[in-house]
Amino acid sequence: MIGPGTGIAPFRAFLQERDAIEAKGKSWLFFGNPHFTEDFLYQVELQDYLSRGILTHLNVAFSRDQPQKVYVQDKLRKNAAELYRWIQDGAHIYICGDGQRMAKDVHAALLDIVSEQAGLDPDGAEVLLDDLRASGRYQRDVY
Amino acid sequence: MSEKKLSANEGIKTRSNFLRGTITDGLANEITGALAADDTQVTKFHGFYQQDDRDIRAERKEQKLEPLHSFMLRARVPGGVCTPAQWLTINNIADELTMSGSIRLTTRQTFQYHGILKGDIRPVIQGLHSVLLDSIAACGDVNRNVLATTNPIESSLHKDVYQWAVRISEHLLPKTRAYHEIWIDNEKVASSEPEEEPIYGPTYLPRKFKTAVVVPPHNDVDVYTNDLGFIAIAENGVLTGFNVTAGGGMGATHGEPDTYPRLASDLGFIKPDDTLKVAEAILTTQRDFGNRESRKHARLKYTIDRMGVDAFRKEVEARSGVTFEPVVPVTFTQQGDRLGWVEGEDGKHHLTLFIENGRILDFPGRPLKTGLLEIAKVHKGDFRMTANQNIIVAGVAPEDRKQIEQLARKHNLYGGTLTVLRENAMACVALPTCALAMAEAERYLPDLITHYEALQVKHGIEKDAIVVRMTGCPNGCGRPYVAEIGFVGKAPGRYNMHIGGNGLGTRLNTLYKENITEATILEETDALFARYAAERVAGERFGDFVHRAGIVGA
Repeated sequence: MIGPGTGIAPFRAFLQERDAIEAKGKSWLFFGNPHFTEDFLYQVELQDYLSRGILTHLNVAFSRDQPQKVYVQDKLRKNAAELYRWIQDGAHIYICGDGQRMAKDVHAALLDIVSEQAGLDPDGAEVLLDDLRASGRYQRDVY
Repeated sequence: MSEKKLSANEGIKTRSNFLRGTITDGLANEITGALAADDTQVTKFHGFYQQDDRDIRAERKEQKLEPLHSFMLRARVPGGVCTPAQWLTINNIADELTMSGSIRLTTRQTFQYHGILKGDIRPVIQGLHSVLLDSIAACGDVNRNVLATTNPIESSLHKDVYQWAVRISEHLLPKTRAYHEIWIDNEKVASSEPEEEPIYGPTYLPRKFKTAVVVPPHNDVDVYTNDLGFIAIAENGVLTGFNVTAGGGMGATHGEPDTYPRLASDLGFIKPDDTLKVAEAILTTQRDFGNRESRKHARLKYTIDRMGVDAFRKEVEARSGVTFEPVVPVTFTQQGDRLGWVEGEDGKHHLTLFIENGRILDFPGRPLKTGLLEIAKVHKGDFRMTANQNIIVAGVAPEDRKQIEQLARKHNLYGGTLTVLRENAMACVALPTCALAMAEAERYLPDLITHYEALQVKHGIEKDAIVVRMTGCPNGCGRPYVAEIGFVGKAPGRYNMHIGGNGLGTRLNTLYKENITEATILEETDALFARYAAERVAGERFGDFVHRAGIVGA
């Protein structure tokens, strides 16, 4: 789940459902916003899901808390090897939020990650993501 | 020993591996601005507390945000002495790395920062390190920052006494490498030697331990409120030794009469060369005999009351190999600071500036922080923070005095029309950051003092210095129990009122009214001031009058 800003909304619902049905699998959320102290939407809910294992991984990117801006795509790149293992293990990737820049930057990051981790050229990486999309494992709701 | 359960903090200390805990993991955790609960106990030994802005807790809860966690970090500055160069860095850290932007002078003769976010703790400590300052043992169950009378007049004696404060502080510092490892080097430094704490052992002390060195007749450090005190004895300006005191402490708990403030007991006189041996022996006696089951009964004062002063003295003599000589009689004349200029024996001039409740920040019409920064840029002497939350621009050459005075006046640090009442008033920080606070203190006392000033004028006693202090809880950081009038917070807007300290810091006051509001405080004070104005004898202090008149005490 990659949902910075208001993109968190559907994933909050995902987590509520997983809590309700006592889902056992792993889950990973990437969230971002400008400032940690003010903009960490649903922070206490996410902390609670994390502590109870409803959510198993959470990475956050607060772009304006340091001179060098950090976004969710930077956090994806930082976790490239593990992300690729998740994809190999059958993970579904969901993206929600800003379609102007975030979704494009995240797509570019995912391409880099799979090409680097799988040793594919750019076209090969596109094909891999296309296959994921076709099988419903790479879904976006961006705006 | 009994088989009672050790307090939770004892387990935390034992498991902390010489004060490391899981602090490093906590710093790396991006999901919360807090540290792990156990680690927040361990970080006290590194000089900082986790706090949160209690004013906005409810609002943030509604926003599904965790409390706005931040950290209060206190430096270790024995004797309160720092250089202008250090001040420039101290100032810049407040600007760049704290949410409050303020520098707070504390009752422990040091400064502290409020509102440091988790990610900024390391830069703050590294910034202090760059000018040879640290925050080791500024809080925690160890010997805290060592106080020393600022005493700018007797220059050579101050120097001696100050150096003893530094030596005591360094001798009693924890020896763990954890502080440097976590904050400075940012990695574990490989060492083949096993870590040890030769004085403290792996569980440190049962509770905090405060030490002060005082130069009579000025009891600005309230020496008798400290666990360990050294009263300097001098002949012709030369230090001949110390009267040693032990077992002072302010903290109490509301409704628990087996907790109480206590003034230190006199143990006897020692030679300067025996200072460190005796300090260490008193500390280790407390280490071994102090109560580790109940933190409320763990301070040295309870240990001494349990053992008896004579048995305690014998134990200290046995451990140190030093025999106490009879106490040398001394006289104290005041506990407040001497504000304004004084000239020292060395021909240097010293300007004590009043800082209300120690809060250095740029206020409308009173740019105190900028003023001190401008002074630091040109000052060639040093700064001395006082235990009454004020600051001395010390060691000014006669030819530089005019420039310092102009800067101080320009920034409203000096030359205003403060009453002696306000100059002697002191409050702890309390709300909104202190987790222990039950009522306002620092944000409220200035208003109460304004009411008091009007009452003083009404009764024609506005020239009389009366020491008024307020703390937001009974733990006593503002040393309220040795004030002539002390207020101890009970609940929002409600205080216990204590009266009858002697203005010298050598007599505890007495609980006079419990759990009262501002209206009752002012009513009671009006009546007390009326009697004081009418019935006092010449030169009699307020705190002495209420005793003689039988209003409190026997």
